[in-house]
Amino acid sequence: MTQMLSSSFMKRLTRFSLTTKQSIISGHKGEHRSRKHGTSLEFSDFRQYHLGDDLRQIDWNTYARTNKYYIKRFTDEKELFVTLFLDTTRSMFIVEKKWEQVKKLAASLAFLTLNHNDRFRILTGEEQYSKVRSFYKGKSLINRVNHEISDIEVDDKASYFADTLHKVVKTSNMYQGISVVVSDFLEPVEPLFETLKQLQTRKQQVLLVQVLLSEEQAPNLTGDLKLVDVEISTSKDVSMSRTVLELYDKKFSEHEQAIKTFARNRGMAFISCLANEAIEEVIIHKLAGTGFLK
Amino acid sequence: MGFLLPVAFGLLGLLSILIVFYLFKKKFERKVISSTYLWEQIMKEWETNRWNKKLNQNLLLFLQILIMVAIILALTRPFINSEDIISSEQVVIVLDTSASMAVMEEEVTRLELAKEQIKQLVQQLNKNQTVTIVNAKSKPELLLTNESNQHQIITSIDDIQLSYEVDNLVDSMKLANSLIHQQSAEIHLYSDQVEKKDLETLPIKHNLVVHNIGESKQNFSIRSFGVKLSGNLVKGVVTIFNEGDKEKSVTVQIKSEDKLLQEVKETLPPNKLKVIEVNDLTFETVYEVRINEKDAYLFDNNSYAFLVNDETPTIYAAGEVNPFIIKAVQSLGSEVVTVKGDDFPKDVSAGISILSNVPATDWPNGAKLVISPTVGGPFKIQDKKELKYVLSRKDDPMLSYVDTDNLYLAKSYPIDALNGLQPLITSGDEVVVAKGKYKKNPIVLFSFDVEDSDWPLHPSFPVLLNNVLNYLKPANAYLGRFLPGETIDITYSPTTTSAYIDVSDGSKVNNVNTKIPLQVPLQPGLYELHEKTETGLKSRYFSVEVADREKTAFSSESFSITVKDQQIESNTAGSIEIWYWVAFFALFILFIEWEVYRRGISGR
Repeated sequence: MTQMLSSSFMKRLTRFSLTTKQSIISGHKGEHRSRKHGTSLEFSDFRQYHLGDDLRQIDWNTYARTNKYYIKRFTDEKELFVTLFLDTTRSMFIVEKKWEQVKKLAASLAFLTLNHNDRFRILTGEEQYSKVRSFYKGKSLINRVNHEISDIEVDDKASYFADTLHKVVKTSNMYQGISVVVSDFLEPVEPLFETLKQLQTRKQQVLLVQVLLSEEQAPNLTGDLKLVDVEISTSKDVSMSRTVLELYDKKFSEHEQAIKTFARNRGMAFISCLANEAIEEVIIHKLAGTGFLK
Repeated sequence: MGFLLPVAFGLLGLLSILIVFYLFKKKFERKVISSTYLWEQIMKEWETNRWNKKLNQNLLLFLQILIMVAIILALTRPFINSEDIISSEQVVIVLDTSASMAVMEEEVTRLELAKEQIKQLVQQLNKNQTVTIVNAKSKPELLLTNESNQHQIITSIDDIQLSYEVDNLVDSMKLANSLIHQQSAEIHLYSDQVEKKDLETLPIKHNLVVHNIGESKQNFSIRSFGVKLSGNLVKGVVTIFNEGDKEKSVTVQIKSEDKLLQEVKETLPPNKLKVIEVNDLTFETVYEVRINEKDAYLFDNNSYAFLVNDETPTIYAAGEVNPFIIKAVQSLGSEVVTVKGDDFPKDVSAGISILSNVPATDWPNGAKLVISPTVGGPFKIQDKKELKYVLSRKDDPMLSYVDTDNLYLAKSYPIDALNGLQPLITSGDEVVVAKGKYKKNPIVLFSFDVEDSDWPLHPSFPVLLNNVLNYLKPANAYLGRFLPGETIDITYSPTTTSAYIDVSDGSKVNNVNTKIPLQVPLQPGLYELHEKTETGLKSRYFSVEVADREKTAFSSESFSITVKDQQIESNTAGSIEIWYWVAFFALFILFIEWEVYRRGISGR
């Protein structure tokens, strides 16, 4: 665990937690304040006593002041279900650094969640073939999760992440909570958007995290190249030139813009980071900017 | 099947360029990237880029159209007709190689200039055109007939030499006309003095271009030269013509072999003939007159002359010559002049003397036939004695055809001292007839009295006399003055084995075939004909000089005569075909098109 995240970073992470804008309605008792009135210790509001209410909930101080019977209501503390969807297509493993970043992200999110006594699980796509992954809860399982993260392997059979995600979402139980989708999003976005919309209907707060290599964002290619897609093995002969590279920049920003627009329109959060960016930077600044970090 | 243009196979070398193109074809390096999603989108947009596509499309189309047009044009085999090009199928060249073409123009002779011009003309002909060359000598000579091989033509032209003869243009032109078989032909005449009026007599059926080479030059020429014996001295007369506008001063030398006899300085008025008399020349065999100054035409600046010898010299009979002898000599055609024994006229040396009973002291100069010699004298003649033996003879040209077998001689005068004479007929030890030289003059000695023999009764009598006279005649040292290349009949001596000619300064020697008539050398000058005979080497001079008509350096303007009827429209023989260039152009455009196409493909 210490290999993935530095101890200093983890110390800083303890001060933060994932939060959702949406109030959690269901679930067991956790540490998230829910709109429901529950049995936490935090004061929420007063309600007039009605016949049948629990007598123990009457606030006697208020009676003393107003000579009317009011019930003190407390916010309920509920647990947050955080599902992490990881893109394990070959493009994520093309350079080691990229997957390292993904692992760090996963570890950070795992730490944030489990440290706050929330539930956390990782879904990659292998579920359709073998394991079934379930939610983890509790600080003690951080290590286990980390192991699990480092054990994740590339999915050779997958071509587009959208397909895998779709299958995974279809076959999984979704509990109201946060779904974090980590991918490089370098593929046709429409099918992905469909699945993301589906996630939202399944009561998920969606956070999109894009992990890119610097050469994916701004390729520094020269000469005449036969570009081969690592996932789908199609090739494209391109003669590099300044015009071509400028065109790539344009296309890339259009692509990014499309994703951002989609996310904004649907109330999803979107952050993008480079594989060589410091994880602290990503979590503490970029994630914080989304509102998912408290 | 064959190939008209096999050299085009060399273009196969261009195949290598094509292969090189493909070797250097754009090689796409393989690169594995995360996703080609964006790249696909890029290239889609790249290709839909209007600018690129339109240009490529149109450019390719344009280039391909150009190639088509060029190939079609090449197939039509276009040609150009130009003014300078000779368009006739047959070209006849008549070249004047007469002596006047030896005039120097700057550094080269007119003939050389003509040859250069002819070569230039020939080089612009193509393989469909044939060349015929006629050498306009006094008897026209055909050098080439209908030859189209350039190399052959050039070699033949280079071989043409000056003939120094008189040009015979009329006959050459007739020959040229007869050689023309094609419809389209033209005649080119290269000479120096041809005027339009000279050709009026000829029927001109084809285009004629007359090239008169050279420019008129200042020239003085010796028109005639002769020497005559007058008394004991020789007189010479020279006529010189000054061809030119300016008066010229010249030095005229009379020489004999390398000896300068006389020299005079004369001024020659322009365009006039001047007669110069030179007196008091010594008696020589050959005389040469020479103008020292050089002009453009050197061959008429010297001339040779010989003292004229009568064919039959006068015979002087002195003493009591037997009337039979006189009769026989007269029947041989010679004139006999009877002279008193001691009273000889001065010019006896020019003739032959027959002396009978004349003492040696009274002997005149010149060739002599001495009969019945007096006792004593240089040969130590003795008194007459009877002969005991039959006559025997030596083989000698003088005794040819003379039958001595039946000759009867009773007595003879014995000769004690032959003094270098050659015995011809002997009787035992006694010499009866001898020949040789006495005091540098030929002498034949009949050491007997004619009355003592029966010789006049023999048919060989006049024959022997003739032989003797021939022997005694002052050697006809002069054969004559001939034109260059003239063929003459020489009577060689019967015992001549071989003969040769050498130039008088001893530089060149040409062997001569004695069986055929002699052809005189072409170059003007003084020559000697030597005959190797049994009795030794016999030499005779002769000179070769250019004809009077050629002794001019005048030159006319070139002109051309076109025949009105001969207007051949589609005269394709001499045109330049330009389809080669068009085809090459098409090939070049094809290369460009390939390159553009290749770039187009690779761009995708």
